[in-house]
Amino acid sequence: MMALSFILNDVLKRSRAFWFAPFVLFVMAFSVRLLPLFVKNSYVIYFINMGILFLSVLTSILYLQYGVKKIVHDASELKYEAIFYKQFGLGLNGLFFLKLCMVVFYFLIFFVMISAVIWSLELKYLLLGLSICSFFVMMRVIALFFKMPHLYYLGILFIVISLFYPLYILPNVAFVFRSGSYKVILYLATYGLLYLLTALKLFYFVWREECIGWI
Amino acid sequence: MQDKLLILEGVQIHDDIRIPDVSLSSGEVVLVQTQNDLEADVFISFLFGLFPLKTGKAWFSGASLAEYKHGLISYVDLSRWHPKIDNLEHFIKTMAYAKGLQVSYVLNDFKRILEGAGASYALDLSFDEMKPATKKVVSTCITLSMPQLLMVLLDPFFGLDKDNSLFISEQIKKIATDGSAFIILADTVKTI
Repeated sequence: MMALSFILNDVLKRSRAFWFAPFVLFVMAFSVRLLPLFVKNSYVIYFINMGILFLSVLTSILYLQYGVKKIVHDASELKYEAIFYKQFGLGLNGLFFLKLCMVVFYFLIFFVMISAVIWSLELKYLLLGLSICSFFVMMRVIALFFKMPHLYYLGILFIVISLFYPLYILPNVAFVFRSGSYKVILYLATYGLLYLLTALKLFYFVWREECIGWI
Repeated sequence: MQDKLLILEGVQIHDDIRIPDVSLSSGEVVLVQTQNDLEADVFISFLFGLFPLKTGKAWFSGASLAEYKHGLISYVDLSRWHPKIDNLEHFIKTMAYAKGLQVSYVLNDFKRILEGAGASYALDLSFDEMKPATKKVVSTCITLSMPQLLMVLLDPFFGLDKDNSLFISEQIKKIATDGSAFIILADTVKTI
């Protein structure tokens, strides 16, 4: 596990924006709560808040995509990276596990930091985070599998389009729980978890194949 | 048979891909001549367990190569991939720490070998500023400054003049006398 020092160094030194981004988002989300202290209460404030929230979600998604790409390298680098860490006794499975931990940790930093400020939306944001995280992993698999790195950026397009989806169409959480249809939520959550696990499994297979090379 | 460090006999990883037979004891230096970079790449990948063994016998340090898990084989090639780290000194310190070696001793040894190879200027460069040839020389120096049971060198005399090549040869001989085994991969005899 001494190779961990190398991996942490590697990810820390990739870029400043990589670790700085969660704090920017924290400030952005926090400004929604701070704004009423400086501006008189009016209808304008709701629009400003909406704009800031929209921007913070949009930038968090962009940064998350960027961050996952930084942790999981390009296909051409994967094999040599695996060989490099092998000399410290870190095998393919161990390396994959560490990378996975980093992706999950990075995802948690983002969504916990935003949801910690916007208390009322906590649940929604975490569920949104889970679905976006699994979606990114899936897109990375597809990009690696078809050897088309640009395909990965289609994910951004889908997520950005989904941001314009009118949220009032979604059922009210309180109403769903009161009416006893929370089983639907449990079913959807289980389905989402299975989707995430399948994505990770596929990701592992493709990643291992890329490490082994062309054979 | 018992005292052999590495045994590769009739190893085949694919129907038409064969790994050259190698029988290596501690303190020996072996040259594996390859046709091109791809062959060297396949050999190194197999040595580090990235290719599953189809037929043949592959033993390292008294156990099957497939079961090898400890960091006893060393191979560094910064020209292909390297972790993002500020400078060379930091890289050496982290690597020595990760391998469980004495950091100050390794750093001094590395600087001495780098000076002998005529590449001291690399200490002032960042990884992004280094040319591939410089990265190759530095990789050789890093490998030599951290002796392991088996050390793999890919074209160690690439881009070196006569005196520097002689110095590197002497270092290899010195480390081999201490008990480390070497596999030198090179595509032409001329470079050796």
